[in-house]
Amino acid sequence: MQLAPSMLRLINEFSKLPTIGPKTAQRLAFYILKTSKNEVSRLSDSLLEVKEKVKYCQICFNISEEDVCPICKDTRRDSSLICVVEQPFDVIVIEKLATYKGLYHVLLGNISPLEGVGPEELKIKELLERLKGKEAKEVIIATNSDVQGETTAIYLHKLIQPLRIYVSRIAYGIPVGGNLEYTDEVTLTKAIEGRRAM
Amino acid sequence: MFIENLKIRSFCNLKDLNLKFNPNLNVFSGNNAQGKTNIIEAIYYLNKSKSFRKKKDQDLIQWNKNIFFLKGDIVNNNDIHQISILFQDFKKEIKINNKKITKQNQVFNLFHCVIFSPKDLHILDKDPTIRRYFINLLISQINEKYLYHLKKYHKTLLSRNKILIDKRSFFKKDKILESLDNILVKEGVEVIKIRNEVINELNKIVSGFYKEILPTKDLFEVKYKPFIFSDNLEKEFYDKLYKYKEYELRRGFTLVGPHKDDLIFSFKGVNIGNFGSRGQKKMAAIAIRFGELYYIYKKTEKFPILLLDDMFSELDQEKKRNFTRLLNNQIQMFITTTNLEFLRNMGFANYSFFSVKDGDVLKNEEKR
Repeated sequence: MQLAPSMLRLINEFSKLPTIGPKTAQRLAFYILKTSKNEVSRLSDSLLEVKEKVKYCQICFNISEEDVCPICKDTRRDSSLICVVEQPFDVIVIEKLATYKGLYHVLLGNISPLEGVGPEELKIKELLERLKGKEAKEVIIATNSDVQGETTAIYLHKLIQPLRIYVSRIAYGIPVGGNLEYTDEVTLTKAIEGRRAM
Repeated sequence: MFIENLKIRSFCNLKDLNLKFNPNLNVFSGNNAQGKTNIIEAIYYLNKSKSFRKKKDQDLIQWNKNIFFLKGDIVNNNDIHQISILFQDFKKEIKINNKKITKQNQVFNLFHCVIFSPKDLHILDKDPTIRRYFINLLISQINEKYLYHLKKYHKTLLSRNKILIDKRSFFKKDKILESLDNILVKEGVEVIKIRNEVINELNKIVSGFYKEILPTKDLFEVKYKPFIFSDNLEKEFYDKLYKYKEYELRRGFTLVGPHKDDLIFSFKGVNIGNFGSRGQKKMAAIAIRFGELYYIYKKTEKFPILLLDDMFSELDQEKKRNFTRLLNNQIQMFITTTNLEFLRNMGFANYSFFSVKDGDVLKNEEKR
């Protein structure tokens, strides 16, 4: 049986979303069909609302509904400390800790030559401008530990060093609660490399 | 440690088989092109998830079928572990005791295998790629750290080559290259250090074995030929990268690094790969595989399973005897041969003889 064209279109749109395969897309489409019109219009409104209202913060490029995000506006936060991350999602992860009181800078990606992403596609120029503002004393680079993340970290280090700002890299190693016995060799080596004085 | 049984489904030309193996010696005899080597291939694949003949996984599926499946029980002292591999839709799913695994090393923790095949001659006389493949496979089975550094090195290398060939703006290119060089050197030096250590150990074992198979006083050696060798590897690597940079930018790929390293095999100081006779090469290849066998034994304290694919065809009687003397009854062996008589006369205490015909395998003699 051929589905109604409008249904096919909806299924097609759903299946473009990440982690959604053709079967799930179909299930979602039939769910929408069953749902009341009010409910559906709330969903479609919220989709559009996100697109209209959410933009990138002009300072740190985190997502925000205002020109400057609440974190950058917050005067209680330590403006001498900037944590550089790859994606807005990473900010949420670190914010959950509630222990970090500095500011952020979101690069919106990493240097990935294989995918043709160079530094000019990232918010690196903006970061350097920000650092010239003299307030920042330390930059914490919290990019991932894969080759792209590492390349980005070293690249940033090379650019920031001449500005006489302290650059640090987050430590990688054994998870808290992890037992040394069960840690694999590679992680343990990383942890020993990143050891600190007590 | 040994494989107790093996279930084979739509693999190469083999019929659907359930084989029970001898813990010591298993001999497969039959005419050419009947499927003897495919049995060896199945055991090798169960261990490494790779074909030893460098065949694509897809090509191991039987004609007209769309999956293949292998399942074997590995006995370690009193433990039995079941390993299975299902290949389907260009993907393989490996399970240990019915649980899906993600790292090949989990299989290596259970057992290893070493293969002797006529193609081993290529290690000596073909291009360095084959020698690097040999040494990389050997080390990464035993040393997880090596695999990590090697993978990271290769990823960085790919990125670096991409930048070198990119014809876009130049100022930034330099800065990215510098950043990538940092990682390349760090990972590359780790790779070289581990290779150095392993090849030194391997050399000691290999040169000993060469003397045993071919009674001689002259020295057979395996030497690592890295592209840098000073006391300060990092500095030398950076210097080389700096020196070749202009040239690399023109050519569009990385010209220096451990991905260009080589192994040299020499007898009385002469490179066998270039100047050795076919017989010398054959002896050398056997010695190298013995080196692999005993290196793995030294590191894991367990003998790997030994796969001998058509080993004896080119050896004279004396060398055959010397060779079999070196095998011991703690090793489980799988041998393919067209000539059963020789092995029959060797007086093994435990054995199973199988005959292979047209993809079917029959056990026709057993002594335990």
